[in-house]
Amino acid sequence: MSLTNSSVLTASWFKFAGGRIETLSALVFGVVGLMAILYSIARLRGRAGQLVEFYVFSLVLLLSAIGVVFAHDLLLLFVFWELATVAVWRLIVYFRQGESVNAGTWAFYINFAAATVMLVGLVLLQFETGSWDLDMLSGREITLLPALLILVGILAKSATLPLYIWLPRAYRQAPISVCALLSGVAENLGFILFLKLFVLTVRAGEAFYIISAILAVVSSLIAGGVALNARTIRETLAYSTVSQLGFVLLGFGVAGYYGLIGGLLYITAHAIAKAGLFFATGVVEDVSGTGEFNNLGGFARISPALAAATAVLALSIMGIPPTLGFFAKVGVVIGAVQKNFLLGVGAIVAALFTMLYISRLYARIFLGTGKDETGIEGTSTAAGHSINFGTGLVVVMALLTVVLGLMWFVPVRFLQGDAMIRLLSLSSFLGGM
Amino acid sequence: MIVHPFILIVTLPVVAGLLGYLIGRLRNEFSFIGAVASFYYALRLFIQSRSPVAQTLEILRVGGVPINFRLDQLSGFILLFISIFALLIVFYSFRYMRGREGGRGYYLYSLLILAFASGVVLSGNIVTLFFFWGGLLLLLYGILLIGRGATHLTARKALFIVGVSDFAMLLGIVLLLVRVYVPGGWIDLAPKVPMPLYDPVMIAGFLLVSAAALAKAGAIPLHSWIPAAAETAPATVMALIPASLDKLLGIYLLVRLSVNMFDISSNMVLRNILMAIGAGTVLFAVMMALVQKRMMKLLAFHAVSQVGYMVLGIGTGIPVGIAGGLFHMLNHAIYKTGLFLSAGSVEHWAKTDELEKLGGVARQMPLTFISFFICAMAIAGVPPLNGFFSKWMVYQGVLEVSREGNRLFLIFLVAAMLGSVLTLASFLKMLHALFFGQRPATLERVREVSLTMWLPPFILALACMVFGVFAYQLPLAGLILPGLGFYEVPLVGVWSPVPTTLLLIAALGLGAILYLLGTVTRPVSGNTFVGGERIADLEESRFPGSAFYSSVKHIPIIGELLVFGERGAFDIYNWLVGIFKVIGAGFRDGIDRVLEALADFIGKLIYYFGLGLSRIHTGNLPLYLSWVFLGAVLFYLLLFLR
Repeated sequence: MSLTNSSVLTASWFKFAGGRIETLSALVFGVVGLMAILYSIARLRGRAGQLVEFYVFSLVLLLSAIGVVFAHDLLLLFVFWELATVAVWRLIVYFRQGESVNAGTWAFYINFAAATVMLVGLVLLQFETGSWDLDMLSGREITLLPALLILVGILAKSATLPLYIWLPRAYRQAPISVCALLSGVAENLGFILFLKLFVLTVRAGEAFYIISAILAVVSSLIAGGVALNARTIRETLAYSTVSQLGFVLLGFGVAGYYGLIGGLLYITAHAIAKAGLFFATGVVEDVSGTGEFNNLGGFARISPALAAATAVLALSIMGIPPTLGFFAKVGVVIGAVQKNFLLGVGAIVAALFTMLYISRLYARIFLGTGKDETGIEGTSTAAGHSINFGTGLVVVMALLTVVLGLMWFVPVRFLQGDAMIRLLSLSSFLGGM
Repeated sequence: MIVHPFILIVTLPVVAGLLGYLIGRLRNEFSFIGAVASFYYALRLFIQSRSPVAQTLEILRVGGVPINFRLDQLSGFILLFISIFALLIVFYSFRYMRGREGGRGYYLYSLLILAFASGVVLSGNIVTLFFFWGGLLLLLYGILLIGRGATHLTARKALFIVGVSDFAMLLGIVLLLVRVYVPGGWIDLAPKVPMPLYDPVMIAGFLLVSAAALAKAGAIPLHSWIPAAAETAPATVMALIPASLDKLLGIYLLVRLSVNMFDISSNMVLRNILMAIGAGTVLFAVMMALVQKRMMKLLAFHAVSQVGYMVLGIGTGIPVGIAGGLFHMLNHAIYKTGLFLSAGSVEHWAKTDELEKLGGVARQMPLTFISFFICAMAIAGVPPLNGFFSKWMVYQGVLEVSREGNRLFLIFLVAAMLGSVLTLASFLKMLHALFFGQRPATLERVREVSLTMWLPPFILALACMVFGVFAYQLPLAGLILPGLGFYEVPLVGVWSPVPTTLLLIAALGLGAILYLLGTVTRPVSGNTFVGGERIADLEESRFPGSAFYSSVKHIPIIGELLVFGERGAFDIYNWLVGIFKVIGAGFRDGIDRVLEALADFIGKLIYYFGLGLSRIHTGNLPLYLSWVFLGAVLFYLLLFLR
């Protein structure tokens, strides 16, 4: 099976297709999903919570994610989309306590309501063009209204301003593996749809792309500002996810060659790094029993390996070489400046926010003096096992980040081979350079 | 398989550093091997680079952007000096870092910094350069975490300030890449013909990228992490980064930008901006240095102040000024590394760097004293040492600017010369506080440091003399001018160091002979007489140098500014972080919390709506039937009334 030519499996609307873009996304989701499930085997077993349900629905989430990635018909995609919403809901309410049920309910309501709006948009699109088949839609011009309605669903799923409010609540309550699955898999799905529909298939008019890009920058800035003032690790990471996803939408929203490749690299870098940061959070919470900055500090002495690996992941989020996050950020910024210089400035300011809140997060956990000198020895054997395992996973994620950072041209070249990207590169200003 | 020396010089220190980190017992040996290997290849490449034809090596090409290395006369000599400084500092560290915290990480970071710095200098285009440049940022963060006290605050400050400038550089590069793209590789660091600067996009790009160069070199207002680092970092880290490597890299990039890539002489406004930054840096930092009470911090402010001369020289846009700026960079790296290392030797015994607790060790540490003295005279610009020569060239450049009708030159010239005077003043303070005066009781057992610690500063002090006396023959003709591609630089002033030096030596020799002949009045020593009481305790009557020039703080305006400066009022980090935090809090309270409240409100609304509806569901069949009946009536009414 050649990856350059789209391979098609079809039965009227039951149609899947995928090139290299889809393959890379599915690969990233698979890796992050695998890591999250491995972590949960060590961490969640033998404790309170609905373990069987967790396994079932994390697999359902992965299934629906891969379905969204490869679906080549909007109706089919919508089915997987809603399946993902249900899975996310069930995963968030894992602990079945008042607050976690509440958080899950919020996630479900907002996603479901936004998906309904999106469905209206999809129906309007069908009226306009007469098809939900992406092949038939290819190259068509569509009007602003259905595009904006579909964007509402995308913003909710990918937790972007103003529909991100379900996310901090969910992260406050969900188990660590669920948080990793959310930021590594579920929240990227919205932008995958954006990419497939608005970048690679239809054209929705210049205004739509400008709106998306501005929304992305504003969302990134605001979430960065909130993250800088956060009081717990989970709160920082929640708003950090919102602010990082803004970069992905910016890359796709400017709809150019560099923005596209940058955005895809961003999804890869962010999914790996953020999942790793969540595993590190899990370890820190298990050891110290708290996630509040005021009660944390000095973890570098308790676990140097965890400190070093987390530093690498933090660098990837900040976008500092030689990590993959750097190349992703460069791609997105090039794309943004190509569109408009001010978008690039906004992205850079958002990157400065990122730098501040991530370095603050790191310093508050690992540096300085600890308020409470609990060592790993002080915890029970079962907890110690999961702590060691979690640290190991963080190290694996950090290695992956560095290896991908040093071999950044491998995913880039892989993506350049994609038929759609090749088409785009021809029209791009820098493409032939 | 023969691996290209370009690759080896970047990878060998990394391998040595990693091995040293993993096999902690042999870390000194591995670090030394790594530094020597780097020096060996740097020397080979330096000799190769003497030919006017540049060598290039393309590693790979992605998306049309080549990742390549390039060696020409400028990068050749900077590469050589990077490896020399790293070698000397690693050699010095064996003894200095023994028994200190964080030794393993220290060697790893040092060697990685050496490798990345070599990568920066060897980069053929600005994209490759940015990769290594950004990598240095994280290494800076790592190495600043080593030391005593609140290292994480220092490291975070450095990360943010240098990070801001790096992101500015990224934006600048992208801007130039997207807007000023010329087929055939604009992003080349040394194109055949530099571009004139008149296009606004180009100027914006130039400013953004040069902000990174200035931050790396440590010019105001992006300097504040350097004095902060002096409070926590070991002396060797200060010698390695702010004193030598960062200056070499920052000024290297500035020269590439304003001479090779662009032609800065085409834009007088930009030249004035650079010159103003330079002159301002000289004056502001030297004032701050005057009133410092800790020796590392005093030296750190000088490391900032001296950058001013380099930026001022390059900003003139006149060949002699640019050559002077580049020469000053080299000189500064030599004497400032010497100063940090010899001050580190004193600190090694005293276990403190507070000037108050030091003094009178010149007799016990003669070699360290001589090295420090020569380097101090060099930085103060005393002829015939190297610092004098390069400052002289910078002044000439500033004077030349006046011929182009620049009226501001006088301000810059006066600021630079005043800065030089104040530098001398503050080094007199330091010499007194460290080596002269009375020795405090705590330093009774001081003796000369071991060979590994006195030799590196001594070599650097010798270099100060050689580069000063033979300035034309050795550094200028051999390194600076070919590096810049200038073959004839008209030196206006007449300054012949060799005969002057001979005369100076003759005069000093005569003085020594007179002294030995005993014709000079012999000093008479006696007890201090204070109101008829004998002072038994020497410690009480000791006059430490720490409070020299404190009266500067009482001068109106300047004194108040200095006091504010001490408290961090001019620290751009405090400003920026404060602004970001306040904006962030505004976002949280003004947008995020409002959205949350709105969501909660809508949630409540739906809940109460549902509650209201559930009241109607009583389970009473007649009630339901009456609802159905009412509905039907309403329906038919609507149907018929239309």
